Amino acid sequence: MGSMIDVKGLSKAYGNNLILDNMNITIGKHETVAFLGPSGCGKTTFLRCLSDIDRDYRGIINRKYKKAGFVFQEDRLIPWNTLERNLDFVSEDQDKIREALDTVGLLKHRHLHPTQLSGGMRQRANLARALLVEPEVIYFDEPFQSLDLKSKISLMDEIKDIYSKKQFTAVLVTHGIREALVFADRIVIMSREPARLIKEIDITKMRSQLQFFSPETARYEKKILSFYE
Amino acid sequence: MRSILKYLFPMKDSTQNKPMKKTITAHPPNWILGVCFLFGGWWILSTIISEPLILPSPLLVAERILSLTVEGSLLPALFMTFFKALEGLGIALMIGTPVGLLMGISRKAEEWLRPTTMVIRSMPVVSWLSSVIVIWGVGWRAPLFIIVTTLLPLIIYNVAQGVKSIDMKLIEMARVYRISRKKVFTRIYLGSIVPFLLSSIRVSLGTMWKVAIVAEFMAGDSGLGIQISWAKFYLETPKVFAFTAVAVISGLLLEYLFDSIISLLYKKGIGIWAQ
Repeated sequence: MGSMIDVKGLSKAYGNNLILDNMNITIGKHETVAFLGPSGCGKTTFLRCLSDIDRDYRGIINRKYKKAGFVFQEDRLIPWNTLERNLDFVSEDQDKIREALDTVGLLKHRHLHPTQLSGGMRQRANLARALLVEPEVIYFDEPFQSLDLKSKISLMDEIKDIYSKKQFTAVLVTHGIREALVFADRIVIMSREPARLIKEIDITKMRSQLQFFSPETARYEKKILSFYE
Repeated sequence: MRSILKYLFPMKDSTQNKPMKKTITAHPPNWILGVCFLFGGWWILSTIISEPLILPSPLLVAERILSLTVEGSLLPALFMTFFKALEGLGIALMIGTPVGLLMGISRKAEEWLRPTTMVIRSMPVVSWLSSVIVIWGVGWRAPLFIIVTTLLPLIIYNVAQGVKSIDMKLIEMARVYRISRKKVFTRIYLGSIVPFLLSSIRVSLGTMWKVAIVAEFMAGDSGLGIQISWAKFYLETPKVFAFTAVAVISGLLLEYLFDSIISLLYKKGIGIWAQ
């Protein structure tokens, strides 16, 4: 498995306030990596630097992909456009739009406006927009945060299902330990501000046992919590 | 555009439209009482004063409206004022929208243009009139100019405010997906200013009517304003009141018509305004 993103000595500060401190990591092709850390530790800042939204940082990030999608924390759909029009904003290929909407189960809702959809449906539309660009990498910024438990589990299953078919590289930042355990192959734990990468856990071998409500997940959750200072 | 309108004038949830049980009331609606109070007060006052040259009675004014309509001087004057006011609004929208967009998008442009728009907004109508009469004399140009200069700052500020209220997260999303500037402008910027543009038109409808009549009164050669001016000159107070009443009713009707169209679109539409 070749690398998709190489991060070397990444640091980021707002004025004198150091947010990210000398972070080094390699993310492999088709890998699913979840970055965990306490609220406000700089996870989103890290993801913004990683995804090239924020270019004001020190260090080197080598991105070996051409197309990337981004699933934002908030849906960021244009409220006065229907779902179809929202996707049409990113790509005008109508077949691709239908395919992306079909993939996330929203094809029959394509004529609805974002405000007519539930939070879960809006996040699925957010995901459909990311899929539309045929990404090699998808960045997920706390995509489950505003969802209720049922929608959260449903969206997670959907992403995993799409991942098994499309095989993109997935980078998730979240403070939900269970979400990370169910979603990723590798968990990276970040310290409190200034954020450093303090621990990596490979859970590929445990994958089948780590369901949302399984005892194994609860055990790992406890273990990961112990790494938080 | 259709999509924006649907968003702006959303359809109400059908469950919310269930008719409520009507309660039997012996009282007329409050607005009818308000109208009765207005006309009653006017009638009492005119009876006390008992001098039509100072305050004609509502009945006398109604009679004068009827006679002016029959002799054919009311409707052409009404049409001329209406035409000028709408023309002024159209020109103000055509100039104000791009200028407002520019001021909303670029801080530098805002700093450059703000003093001029502030001066235009603060300038009294009579000061403009004294200049435009010298340039164009009495006619249709001066009232039109006054209408445009009055509505222009209103539209500019509203549009600029609309641009400033754009959700920057949408702009960032567009940047992430490398969307062209043209598409961002037409799909996000223009979409965001529509509510502000509509609210400025709503306010302009009330303002343009009054300004048009004042400008016609002082520098016009046709319309309700000049009719009021002539009636005042010949001390025909009932006629002044008749033209004024028509102007007020027309202004209110225009606003009512606009609100009804918005309301109709609201009922047929869908989107966040349904909440």
